[in-house]
Amino acid sequence: MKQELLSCVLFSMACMTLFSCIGDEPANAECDIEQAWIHVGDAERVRAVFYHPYDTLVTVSSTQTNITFSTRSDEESVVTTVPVYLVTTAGAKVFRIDNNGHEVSFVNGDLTDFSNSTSVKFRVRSEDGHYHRDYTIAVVPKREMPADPEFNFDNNFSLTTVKPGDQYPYYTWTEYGIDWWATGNAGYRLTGLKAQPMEYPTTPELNTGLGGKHCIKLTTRDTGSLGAMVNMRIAAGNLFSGSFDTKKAMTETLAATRMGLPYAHKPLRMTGYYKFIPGEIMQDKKGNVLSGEQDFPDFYCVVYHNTDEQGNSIQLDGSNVLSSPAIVGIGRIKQSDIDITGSQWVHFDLPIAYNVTIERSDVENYLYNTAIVFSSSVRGAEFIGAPGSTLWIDNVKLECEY
Amino acid sequence: MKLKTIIYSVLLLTASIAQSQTVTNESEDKWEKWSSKDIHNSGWIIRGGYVIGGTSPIPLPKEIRSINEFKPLGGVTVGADYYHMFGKRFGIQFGAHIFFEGFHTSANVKNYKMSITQGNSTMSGYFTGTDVTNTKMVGVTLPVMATLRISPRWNASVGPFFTFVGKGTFDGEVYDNDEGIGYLREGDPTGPKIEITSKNPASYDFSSDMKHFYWGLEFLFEWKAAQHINVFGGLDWSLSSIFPSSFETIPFKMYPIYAKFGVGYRF
Repeated sequence: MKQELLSCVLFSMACMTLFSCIGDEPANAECDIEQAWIHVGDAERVRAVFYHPYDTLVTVSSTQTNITFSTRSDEESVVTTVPVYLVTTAGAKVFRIDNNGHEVSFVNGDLTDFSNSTSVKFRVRSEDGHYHRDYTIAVVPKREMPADPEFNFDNNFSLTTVKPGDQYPYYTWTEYGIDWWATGNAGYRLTGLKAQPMEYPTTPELNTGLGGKHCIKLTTRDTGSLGAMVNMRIAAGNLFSGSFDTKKAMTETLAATRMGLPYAHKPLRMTGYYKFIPGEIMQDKKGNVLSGEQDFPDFYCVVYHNTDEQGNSIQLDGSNVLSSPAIVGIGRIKQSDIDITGSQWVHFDLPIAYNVTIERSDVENYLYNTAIVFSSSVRGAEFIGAPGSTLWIDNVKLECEY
Repeated sequence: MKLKTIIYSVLLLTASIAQSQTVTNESEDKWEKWSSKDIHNSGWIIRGGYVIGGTSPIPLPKEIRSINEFKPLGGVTVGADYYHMFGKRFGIQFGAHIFFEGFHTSANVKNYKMSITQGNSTMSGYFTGTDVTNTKMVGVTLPVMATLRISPRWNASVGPFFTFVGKGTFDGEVYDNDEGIGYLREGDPTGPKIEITSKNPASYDFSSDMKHFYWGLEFLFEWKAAQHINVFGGLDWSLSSIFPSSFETIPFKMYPIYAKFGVGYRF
């Protein structure tokens, strides 16, 4: 009898240890600054320092470690010592790194000296203590993209990684010291295809541009089996003024391409040169062959209001950059005009048609964004296109009224 | 949570039957009555029954915050065992059981190390959100068990088993949880944050990484309901992971633990 009970008890105990209760919640391992905010004073002071009231708050992406508050450039807008507020991932601890490289404790609201455009270093340590990330925060006059800019793609490109030490770098471009151009390369990296830098959708091409110099090459790429899993079978090569939000790359890819940057000049036309060769087999989102159809590239320049009536930021993206009511001017290549032989450089000249009159003072106060967009597949945003479609572009210019 | 409830109910049932049985008169004629009629004290038992359980890391890692759903899939076992009693109390049995077992589970995970692999593409990192897993296995188990006759009508057996899995699947997907949180930190928790939602979930399939052999301990309790009819309940507790140690995508060892209960016919 005892034996019987004993065996049952032992058996129960064995089972209980197997399915022991859910353990305590592990400490958070993330150590991001998600938002940064500086308090420069009352509403009037904010208007004096910044072009937009929302410029006092920077939403920081997970791949970004340099946080910049862009101010007006006159003397009245100089920011010296102001309180800083940081929103971090839960449980993370923030330290300021002093000039000797030491960690100094930081609490939200601490006065921080940004005079002379100093970059202040911060370190965020995760709640579990295993990870940390280093950030810089600076308050500097907005870097200006000049009127009539020329983009010849001959220099100003370099290899970039999503974080220090990443094995799969890709090319990015800067213009006039500004991160003007963005690409979907960071999204393509997520296909896990271990692409070499020149195998990405957007790459430089050396010595084949106008005058034997460099140009940019946009290629519609197959995204492999991971891409197929999420019904994103192709990645069109793209280049656009704006930023790419990796966070949205797998869920709302159109929202990931944040198109348009504040620009204090009024573009009248976009000119430049292109070559295009369509890929052989058009396919739809499900990977079905669309026989008889042919791929085309797309390029356009859109000017739109960047602030709504309530003073909130408007940022267009791949889903609405050609359809938003905020658009005031648009210049786009006609499909019928596109040369698909790819044999020589073809000049394009796209006048920007404005549907309203825009105030020069508003333009100069950065109330409009300019989105310049190039894509190797016109329907790439819907994941319809022909892998292999290639668009080369060079010597792009914006002609401005002022 | 449901799994725990099921296991406990089975255990309680087993225990209460055992207890009620112990109060009966253990006279020699009872022992005689419920003994095997074969002069060699040996014979065959054919058993059939249900299997419920799952494949789980043990203990549950703290990265698993809650189990939202647990559903057994399939779950049958049919087998034949040869038994031999050396005396009044001790014996041995061995045999072969064909089984079909599986489960579906949905768990809330936090900072759960994982990889999404499709063909030659891999994306790995730390996922926070909902992780749904489905697994099914069809195979044959060969147990060798020592049997203790603890009362005239009760047998308890324990011993190692070896399982050959003919076909196994282990797949699932990840997406956002009820609070709308679903993201992968690619590489490590400082890597790019990539949202994954139920609109476009990321799926994984580790079926081809599964081992074909594993082993463990089988526990079996049997009650002689009639002269030839046995009722049994037991547990197949695997001591080896269904994935080889070289498989690093899931950082935990995954043990199949299946309870079974059913009816046997004793020849």
